[in-house]
Amino acid sequence: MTDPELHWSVVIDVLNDMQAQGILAKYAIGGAMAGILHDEVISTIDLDIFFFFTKQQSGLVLSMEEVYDYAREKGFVFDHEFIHIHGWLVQFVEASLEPLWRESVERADIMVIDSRDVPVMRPEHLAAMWLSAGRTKDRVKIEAFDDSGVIDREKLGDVLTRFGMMDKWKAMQRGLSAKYQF
Amino acid sequence: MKAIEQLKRSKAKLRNYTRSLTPTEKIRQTELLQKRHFALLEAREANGGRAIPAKWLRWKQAQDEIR
Repeated sequence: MTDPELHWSVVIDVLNDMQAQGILAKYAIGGAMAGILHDEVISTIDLDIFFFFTKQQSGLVLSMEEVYDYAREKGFVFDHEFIHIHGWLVQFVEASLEPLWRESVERADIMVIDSRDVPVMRPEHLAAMWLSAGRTKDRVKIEAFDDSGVIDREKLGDVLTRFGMMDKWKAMQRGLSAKYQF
Repeated sequence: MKAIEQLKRSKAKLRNYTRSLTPTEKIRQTELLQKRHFALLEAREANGGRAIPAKWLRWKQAQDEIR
């Protein structure tokens, strides 16, 4: 493999190959990396990939075997919840069963990165997911989005209302700018 | 107080700069930042500070695997 300028681009090529091979039906970048792409650069090392399988799962328990089989075949290293792909710690999260995650993947923005079309979750969905996770570092990411103004208030209100998260947002919104107070 | 205001302004300027980058450039800067961050963690540990967090050691391992 030649050394690319961006290691990250190889990860995207791998994800696109997984789609071409019929493993992933659809995917989107989520988590802190999606935050970086919408906002400012911060130090993060993992890459969260939210996805749907192409083939319907038959068992009651979700099996990630198809992803692991692919990774094994390509010689990628497994490390706890991560798969090492060209220097990145990649975490695969099946998103079809959680309605907010599902919509976040379905309605992802397409960004052109290093000449590749990359689906990236929208800021309003990311903010709702961070609200749902509720950790201190998630609040910090919401505040960074507030500071940069990348969230569309109307779209955020729509997401929070439809997913029944408005009360939780209102309980958290103190300290955010007036634009994001409901 | 003036110095603090000046520092805040300069921090805001830097944040605005990173926000203005293209997505490709943001990824490039993120990959650079990871390397710098790890170097700082190494230096901290070497100087008797806290050990490098396990997650960052995993990242280093993943980096070392790049062929």
